[in-house]
Amino acid sequence: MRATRFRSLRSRDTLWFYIFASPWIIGFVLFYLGPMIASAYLSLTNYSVLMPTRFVGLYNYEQMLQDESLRLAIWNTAYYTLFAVPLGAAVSLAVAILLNRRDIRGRSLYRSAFYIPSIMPIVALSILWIWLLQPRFGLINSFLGLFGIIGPNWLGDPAWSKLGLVLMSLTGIGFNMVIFLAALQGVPSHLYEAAELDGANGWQRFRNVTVPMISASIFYVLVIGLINSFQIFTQSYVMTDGGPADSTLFYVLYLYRHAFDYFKMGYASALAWLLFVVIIALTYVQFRTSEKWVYYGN
Amino acid sequence: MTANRFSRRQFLQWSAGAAGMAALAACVAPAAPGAAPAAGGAAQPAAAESTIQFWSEIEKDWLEATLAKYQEANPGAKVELVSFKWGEMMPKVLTSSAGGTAPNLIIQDRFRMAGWAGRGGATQIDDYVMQYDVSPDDFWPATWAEGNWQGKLYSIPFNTDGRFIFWNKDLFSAAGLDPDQAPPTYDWEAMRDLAAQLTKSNANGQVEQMGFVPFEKNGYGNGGDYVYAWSNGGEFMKDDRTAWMDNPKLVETLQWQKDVVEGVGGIQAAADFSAGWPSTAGFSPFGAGTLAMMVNGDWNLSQFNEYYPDLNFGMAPWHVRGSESDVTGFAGGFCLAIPTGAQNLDASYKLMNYMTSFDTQLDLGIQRQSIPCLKEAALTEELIASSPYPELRRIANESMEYARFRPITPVGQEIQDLWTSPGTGRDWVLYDQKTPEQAAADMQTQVQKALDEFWTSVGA
Repeated sequence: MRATRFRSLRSRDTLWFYIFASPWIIGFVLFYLGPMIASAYLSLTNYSVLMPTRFVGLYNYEQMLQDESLRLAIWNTAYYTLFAVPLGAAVSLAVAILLNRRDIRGRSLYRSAFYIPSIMPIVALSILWIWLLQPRFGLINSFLGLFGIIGPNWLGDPAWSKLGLVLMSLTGIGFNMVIFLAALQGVPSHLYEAAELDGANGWQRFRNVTVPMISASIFYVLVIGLINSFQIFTQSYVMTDGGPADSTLFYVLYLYRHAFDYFKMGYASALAWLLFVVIIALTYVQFRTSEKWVYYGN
Repeated sequence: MTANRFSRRQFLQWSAGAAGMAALAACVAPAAPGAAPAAGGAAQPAAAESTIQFWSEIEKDWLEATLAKYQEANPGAKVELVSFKWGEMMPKVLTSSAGGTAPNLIIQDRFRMAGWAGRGGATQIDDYVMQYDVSPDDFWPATWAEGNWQGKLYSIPFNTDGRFIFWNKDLFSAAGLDPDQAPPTYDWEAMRDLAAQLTKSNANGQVEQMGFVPFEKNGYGNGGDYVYAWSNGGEFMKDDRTAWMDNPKLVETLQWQKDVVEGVGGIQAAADFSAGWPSTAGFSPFGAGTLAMMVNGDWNLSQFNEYYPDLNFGMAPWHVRGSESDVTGFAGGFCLAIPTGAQNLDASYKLMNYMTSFDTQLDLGIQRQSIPCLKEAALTEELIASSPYPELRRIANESMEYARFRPITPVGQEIQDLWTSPGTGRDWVLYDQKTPEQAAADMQTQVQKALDEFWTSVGA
């Protein structure tokens, strides 16, 4: 009976759920889902925003197959992701483990210090990193110099520019560090005690207790990291403008140029959909492989 | 900061945070028409009928003062200035035009006008010229030309800038050269040798003093890439429908740029020397006395005066290759334009007329040390005398008589990116990825493709 449905407690809860969630639902539908559907259609047109739009079928997608610069942009982005995501996860986990130790004085101060850079505006960070990566007197190369290593021209050499940006990505470990800290605190201490009684050393405890117990967080960090790193944009827009020699021409920068510099919004929409599909596919792969190593406590 | 349009671009990109964020959002799902009203756009319909929205990425302070004067002199006229950081404005003009809430008047990079007009982004303003009896001859030829597309007028020139060879007289003296003699820009082989001669490296092989690097990159100058092409007789377009990026003259230019760079130690040495220098912002290796020569804009005059008052330098036009008498130049700068669909044209015309009036243009030139597009204002002795370097200011302003301009084409942005931007086409040659011939051929393919797509899209 329809009329009586909302009388039950459960249904009333459902109603309230939708009412409370409605700001998000409306925002999502209007500002994400709507434009996404529109862009799916626009990717089949020669849309340039201000001119009459013509349906061109799969022309934009065909063009993508022959687009040499696009291949380079995909390569650059994949290369960056391959280094930045695992490195970022490993470093943030290492820092979290250190800052989870009770014997560190001023622990919360360190935690704040590591977290703060991750909430700094990326443009400000970018300008800062131009100087950190400066080849002759930047802090990074000065540090390497202490060990007799002559550091590279990070942003000025096509062979090093992406790795320079990978280094920079470590500024953002604070967010993941917090996630790992929370996860580490959730690992029951009796497991460590049991492992210790069995004679497990530090590495074995880490490998066989810590990692499985926080594997869900590691998985989360890797998934979100991959999604974000495929969309790297501001660093190359601000610091290198895609150079030198297109070595930091990342996917979204390439897409942006087509959309707003060259008025090829149709092509840019097609690019956006390819990116979407690639990210979905890689995330799916991550989810499938996760079944083998992520422990959800059951 | 002084007014310097073209070069300020890259510096302001650095602070264009909102642009970056807007771009990110837009990249995920480019907005449909009307789906993304621009900032301020929503308020527009509610505003009084006579209020006009005036958008600009440049000259915020000067515009505020000037618009205050305008409103004082014209009771009833209301202008709301919306200032943007570099790179933020045009995407918003695009989306607000699509959403039917375009600003009434904008200050726009002039060389992009054809791209905007050709794609329906600008309002044709030929009747403004009739109504206010504007004479094109009152403006510098290059600057007026860029406002036209397919025989129709879309913008009025606002301010401009020239490109010149600057040399450090002290470094010339130290090298035993005549400091008062301008570098032999008509002789490219001599320039290559001079660049090498003036370059000094330390024991580690790092360049301590750079002679000359003929391409646009952090601190090495601005706009030279076009100047060299024109100096060599290179053109970028054969006609409206045919690109000419594989022009042998352009191939020669690329080869020469590469040769000069090899002469000073190669691209890695050049990139190492310039690393970290801002493109503009007043500070430069030239000002610091470690770069002997550069091609850059006249806005450097006021910057030197502010940041490097003791700098002992010369400035002269760049010569046509092989000619000791003929020179060439480059006019950049901005224009006033009305986005498509903007309302209240009469009020916009009136303000446009005020902005290009003699008094306003003269004030712009004096206050901002920027070259007015109105000839008479640019040549006024009061303006010339207001410069810290009056004789050089005179050379700069008078150069607009013969200055060249970038190709008027809807693919001007593509050409500029490939030819001058660090990172794209030009770098293929500098980083030995392609021969100049191959690079030029690939640039040609890209630009021609964009051009063909444009003409197809307008159904012609």
